[in-house]
Amino acid sequence: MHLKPIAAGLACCLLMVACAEVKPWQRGNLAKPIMAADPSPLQSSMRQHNYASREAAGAASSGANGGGCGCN
Amino acid sequence: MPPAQGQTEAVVAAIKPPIHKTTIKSSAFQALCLSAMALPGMVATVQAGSDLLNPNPTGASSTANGQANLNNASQTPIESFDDNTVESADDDDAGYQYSHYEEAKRNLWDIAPAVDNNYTVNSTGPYKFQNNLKPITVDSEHGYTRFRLSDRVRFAFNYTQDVWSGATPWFTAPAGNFMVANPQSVTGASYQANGAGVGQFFDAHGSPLYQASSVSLSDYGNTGTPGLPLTLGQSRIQHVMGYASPEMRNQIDAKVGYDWDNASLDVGGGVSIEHDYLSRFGNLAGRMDFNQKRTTLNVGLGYTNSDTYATLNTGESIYGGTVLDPTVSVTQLPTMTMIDGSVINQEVIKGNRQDGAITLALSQVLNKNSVLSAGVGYTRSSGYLSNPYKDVMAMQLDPNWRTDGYGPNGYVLPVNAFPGVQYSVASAVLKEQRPHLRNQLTFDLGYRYYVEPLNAAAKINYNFFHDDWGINAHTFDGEWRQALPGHWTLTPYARYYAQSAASFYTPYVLTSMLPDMSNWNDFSSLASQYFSSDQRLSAYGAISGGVTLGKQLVKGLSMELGYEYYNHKGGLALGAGTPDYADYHYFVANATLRANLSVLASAGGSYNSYGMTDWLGSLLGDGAKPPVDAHARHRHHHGAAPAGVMFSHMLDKAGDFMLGYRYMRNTQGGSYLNGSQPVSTDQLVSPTGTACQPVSQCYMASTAMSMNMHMLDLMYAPTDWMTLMLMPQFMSMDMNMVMPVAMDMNAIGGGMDVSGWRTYQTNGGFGDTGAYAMFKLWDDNDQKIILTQGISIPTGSINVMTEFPGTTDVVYSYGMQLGSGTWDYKPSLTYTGKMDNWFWGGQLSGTHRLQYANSSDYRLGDIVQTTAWGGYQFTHWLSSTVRGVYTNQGTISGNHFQNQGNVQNMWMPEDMPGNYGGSFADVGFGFTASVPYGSLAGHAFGFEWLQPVSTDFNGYQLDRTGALSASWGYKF
Repeated sequence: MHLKPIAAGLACCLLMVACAEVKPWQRGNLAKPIMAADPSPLQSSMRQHNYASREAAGAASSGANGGGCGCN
Repeated sequence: MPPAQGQTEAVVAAIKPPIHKTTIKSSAFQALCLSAMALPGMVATVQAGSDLLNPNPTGASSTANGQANLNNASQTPIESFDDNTVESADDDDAGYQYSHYEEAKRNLWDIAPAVDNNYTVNSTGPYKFQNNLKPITVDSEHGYTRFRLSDRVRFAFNYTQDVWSGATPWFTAPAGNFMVANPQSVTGASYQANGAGVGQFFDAHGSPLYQASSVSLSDYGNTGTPGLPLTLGQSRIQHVMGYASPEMRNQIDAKVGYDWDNASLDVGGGVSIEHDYLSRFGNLAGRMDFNQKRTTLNVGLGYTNSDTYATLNTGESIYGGTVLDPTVSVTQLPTMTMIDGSVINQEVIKGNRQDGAITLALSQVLNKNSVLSAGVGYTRSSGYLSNPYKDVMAMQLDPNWRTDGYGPNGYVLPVNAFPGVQYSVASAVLKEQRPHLRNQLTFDLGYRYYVEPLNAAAKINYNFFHDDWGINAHTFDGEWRQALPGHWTLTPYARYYAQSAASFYTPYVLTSMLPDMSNWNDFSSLASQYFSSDQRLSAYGAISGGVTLGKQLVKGLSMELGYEYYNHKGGLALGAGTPDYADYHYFVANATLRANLSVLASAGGSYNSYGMTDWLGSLLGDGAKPPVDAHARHRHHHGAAPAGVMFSHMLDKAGDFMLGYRYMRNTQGGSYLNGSQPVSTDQLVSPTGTACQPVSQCYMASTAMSMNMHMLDLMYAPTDWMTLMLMPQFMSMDMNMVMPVAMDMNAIGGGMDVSGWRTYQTNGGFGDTGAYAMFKLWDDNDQKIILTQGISIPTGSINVMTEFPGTTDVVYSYGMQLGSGTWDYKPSLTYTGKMDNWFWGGQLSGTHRLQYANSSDYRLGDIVQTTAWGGYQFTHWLSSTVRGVYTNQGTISGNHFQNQGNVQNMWMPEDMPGNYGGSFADVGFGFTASVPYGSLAGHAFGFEWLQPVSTDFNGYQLDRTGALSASWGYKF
């Protein structure tokens, strides 16, 4: 359902000039906690750890993070 | 929350985070701001403007888990003034999370009846049998704090502990080859090798077949009638599960970050420690903002170096677990000779792996409501990449079984009624062999959009993964973050993951016997191949979904509850999936508490313009003066009781909250005492020793024990005279053991393979939960009397088992369980007094078990404790205490039901109910520091060391070596 915005976003990124200029004082919505990239960092790090120990792709997705498994 | 201290100050507090500390110190600007901000209508304008003057708004954020934030676009300089969702972006915060992961029981299959007594095969085929193996559970706690060391320098610290146990796939085999000896048993690690891979039919595709029906083998052997004897049916594959005793992982990591105006650099590192795995890692993350911060570029570099040190357990020595790969290091531990002359040999797999990663991510603010992000990553892993506990079953097939006499019962069939069907003549269980190099690529795309009419945020992500092991994986996930009135946030989310199998994934390995049979039972040719039966390398899909409920309890303090369900199915793969034998599902529940320290302090009405650094500076005598009325306002931790004393302090007035954390660590070590007399280990384990009556002899003894308790104090005062308190706790414990005598289990009715014993036990998880009400009986400001009525709710497990190879699994000793199992009554009476700089107190407290026995048929002893202390307040922020403690605890009554009638389960003094409790005297030395004013005002820290001075145990116990208590409290 959000494919359209994605496509639009992609196009926008490719043609950076097309991006609307968003002044700092226009970023109130973007600054809301629910719009944070990761509003629940503890929970997402735990989920990421669960995926990483259960899926082949998990470990690489967590990128530059390290650590043991805590699983078997 | 106390009322604001005046409008000007309250507004300063609310908008303080985005304003630079040096800025606010600039008095001219401060005056301007103060006057402007006193007018609510002007706030937003001032906010936006102030950013221009601010060289470093809070834009450089870091996530709590030690990673660089992939997308900083949301950390824009202006603060939202929608009070419904306001949460400061300030970096001074702390959080704690507890989570519980639990898998469901997996399906196991058997063939019934395999062969009856008349050698007549007449099976109805595979059937699912009740699997009571305790599935894997993981209990985790995660604490973090982060704060600014200076205007441009950030610091973050994380601590994580995982404790897990339960049944996990060990290898994969055709049904009927391995059976759980006692499927009704809770753990049942023991498998009986029921044929164990020899005599198994396979079709031309390598799928297992079972003997569905035949006449008596002796008949068809004699008559040799073509086509009659054998009917084969399609069988099943199943996992062979192994139970893992509780294991623990501890991880600490820290990060330091530096912020420029439009960039930041973070350097971090940490270590993860398990008994068999040590991992150290470091990372570097850089961020650059362009386009007035509309575009953010993140670059990350990471390096991890990990050592495996896996002692092979006995189960593997029974069934194989052979290491063929010549590049894997297998070493023999030094042989141990027991007092009775017997010898123990143990093998260890050692390996090292290195992982290097680079990530590149870009985020772009598209418009005032949406952000797009994209990233690529490359990870290179090399070294020992296998899992030392995952095995692969190998079976050798005879293609000529019909004619060479290797078929069932050695009969030769004259006609080939089963073209393509093969019959296994040898089997082995091998350690999995993965390649020693893996290159991985990831690609991410994310988009989030603010839905203004609903005050919600929608977020979708796609991730593609590719590696040179043949795995391609796709992840789609989306979430809807809905802000609700009353500071609630509800976030449902869903995720789909699908991967193809690694090229070397196989449920089992099949090899062929040569026609001349010269290679019978020889699997050495597999040494140069790669194979793994790990379900994580199979082809499958997984659907998961969950919901997170967030609530801002008070300004600066928020709570989250999360639940997730995850379903792994071969049938959900995008292409052809692995059959359903690997299907399973799990759930995770988590609870999180996060406190923004400076917002809490602001809400309490203390001075922000006088920061902690100023306060520290004043201690060092640099001339800075505290605010004039600081003393009048500072929190009264004056005369704080020692950190090890609970229930000594109530909240002052109705409506107050207090958040606290307590840590207690008890250690035991040195030699055993019988009462108060030392006993050597040799005496303890000698055949005439009495420490393990009625078993008559101990076989093992502990050399060190430690117990850690992490307690959360949540206090609330509904009235001035009563304070309610809820105290959940997380426990972890460790015990090191020696076994100086090899157990002659036959003598006491068991049968244990001594080569699989471990030198440690570990356990951890959620403990019992305390609920208390404290009543103010007397308070004349200098002297107080508090009566506490409490209940301990038995939320901690008392049935944690250890794998004990070759025999039934055994319940952990009483002291290694996580709770009492009973509802307990916990009253206390506390008196405190103070005069000038002196303060003192005393407390009488007890624990009475309200039930005759817990659900496992035993009851811990009651406890009575008296303590008295005196202290001196050196300065308004530091005090010191000395105290004496006397404790008496009874023995355990009853006996854990798992041990009743199973004397072979009791082999060390800690397994005997009579070896618990005693009378103890200790002396404690402690100090308490409280931050009197500044941005962290109201925080109090306490430490106390308890030194044993007299010990009189009931029975035989390992000597006490002391206890440490630490506490942190914050009232608001």
